[in-house]
Amino acid sequence: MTEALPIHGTKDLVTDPLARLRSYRDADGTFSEEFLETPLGPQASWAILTLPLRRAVRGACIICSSFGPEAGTHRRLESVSAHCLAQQGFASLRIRPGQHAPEPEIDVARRLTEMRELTDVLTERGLPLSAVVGVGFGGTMAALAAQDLVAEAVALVEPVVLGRQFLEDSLQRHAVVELMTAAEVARERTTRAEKPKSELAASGVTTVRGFRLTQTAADRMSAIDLVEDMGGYRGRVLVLSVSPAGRAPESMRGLVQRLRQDGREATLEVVQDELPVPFGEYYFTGTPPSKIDSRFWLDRNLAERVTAWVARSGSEAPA
Amino acid sequence: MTEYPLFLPFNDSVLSAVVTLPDGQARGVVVNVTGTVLTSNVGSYLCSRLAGPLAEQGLASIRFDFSGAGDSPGLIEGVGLDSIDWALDCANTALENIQELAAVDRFAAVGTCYGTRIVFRLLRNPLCVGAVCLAPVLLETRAWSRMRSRYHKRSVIALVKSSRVLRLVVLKPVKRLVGERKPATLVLDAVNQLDHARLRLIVSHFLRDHYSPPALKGLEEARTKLPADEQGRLDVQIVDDGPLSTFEFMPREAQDRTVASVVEALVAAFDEAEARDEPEVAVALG
Repeated sequence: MTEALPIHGTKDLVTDPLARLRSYRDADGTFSEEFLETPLGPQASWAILTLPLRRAVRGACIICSSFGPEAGTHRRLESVSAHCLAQQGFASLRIRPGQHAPEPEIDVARRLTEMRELTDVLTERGLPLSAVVGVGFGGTMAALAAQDLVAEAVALVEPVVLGRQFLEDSLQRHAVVELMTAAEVARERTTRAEKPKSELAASGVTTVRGFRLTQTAADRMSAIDLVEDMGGYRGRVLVLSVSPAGRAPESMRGLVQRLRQDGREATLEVVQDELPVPFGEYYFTGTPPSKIDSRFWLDRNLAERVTAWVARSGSEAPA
Repeated sequence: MTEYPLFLPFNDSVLSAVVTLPDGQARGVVVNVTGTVLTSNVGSYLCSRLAGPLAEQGLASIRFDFSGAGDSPGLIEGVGLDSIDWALDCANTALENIQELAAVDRFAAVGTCYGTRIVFRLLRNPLCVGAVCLAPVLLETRAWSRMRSRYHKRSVIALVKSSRVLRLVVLKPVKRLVGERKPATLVLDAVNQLDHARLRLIVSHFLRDHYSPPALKGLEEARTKLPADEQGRLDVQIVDDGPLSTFEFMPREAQDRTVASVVEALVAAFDEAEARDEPEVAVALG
């Protein structure tokens, strides 16, 4: 049976069910998870701490969440990665929207602030930072933060190399979704497809697929170029690409090549998967009455690969 | 109000959940059952948007990730609209926890898309005073859906679908013959629970929200068979806002309208239940 755990530093609160339910130990006794009591960052985000139970802690990872729809579609992968890392002796922290996040927002600066606060949590708990991990644009922000946080390693799953490209893709997908939505209702002929760009230009703020985007945040995002921005990073880098053809895109190959030229230890791995929907999009496929989780195995595969790579560099700990 | 992120024991695992408690004693609780939507919020964005306004009305609420989704561990490879038992177990776990944490039994439920099937079943509980179902799945799953599911990738089907003539000559007659036209038993069963609960269905015109005029017609027929007082407890709102099943992508104004409609229906349900209780309390005190 799953077991509720005493919360770190609050043993006297164990009788309070709200405190007791903040954490649990998994059925196999491999790891524990805990929602930290103190929210983080300007929007009071919640953090989940995963700790290995069967092995001594070899190190800790920060798992950086993305923005936009992919923040939702990668959430399970982040959770599975945390559990895999714990099996190999790594603690991890990941962030979720908290009580004061009334409107989802795309804001790189806020996420980087949250990540700095996560390193403070690790320090308080005596957990050495081993790696920063991120998926999609979360990978991009993990790469940006790694240097600042002095992480030994950074693992990027399908990272966005050019921020400008991510912004363009987001706007394009927004337009496609709006057109498809409009097509579903015969009498609705107008479309909000072009609205974000013009709105951003006119008022300095818009909404892209449900997420608030300011001109400042858009400019910050557009300026990201990992090839240049990772120039000062001295740690090891894993770039993990997912591709139906089994070939990483030019941007990721270019990033790894540049890191190697600069004398860094950079690994490029490609996972071949048919990807019935683009990575980062809604992944349930099929028509009613059944919906199939098209990333069920892929997420486990990616989590295991990231864990294996992080573990290769971590110091060995007694089992 | 205060929000608490929690892990609720569930079989051999846990469900990640967020509980929202109003200031003071709650007058009731609301369990939010999401569809298969994937959002960064535990539960869903809609559920997190509802928490504040509900707390202002003195209502505690809970939202959760299904087992195997988001931050809830588990191995679920897919979701079948007809097999809701595991999802119902998740919802009942959330419900029992919020009832205990808020120290109140009376409850209402909100569901979206797939989650509406679970909410229809929760209505059977005599403690349930009301429910709101957004983008409800109203139709019975029969041969047409099973065929669509099984053969939609076959090249011959793609050929038929690509030709207007073949669509008219082949697809339309087959659909007329075996297509679903009646509300599901689950839905009709929910309509029969209106002796103790109110039910608001928010239906949009969007195909992905399962819009179906025949199902709505069937629902109306079912309503007319109810006693007069119960007929008034079923409220079907057909809205232009949508798709409700992807609430987080809707324009902010449309989101606000939807949240207001859900909260209004839930508050009305609790008001009515409390009004029903008042004579009993008066008699007991007398």
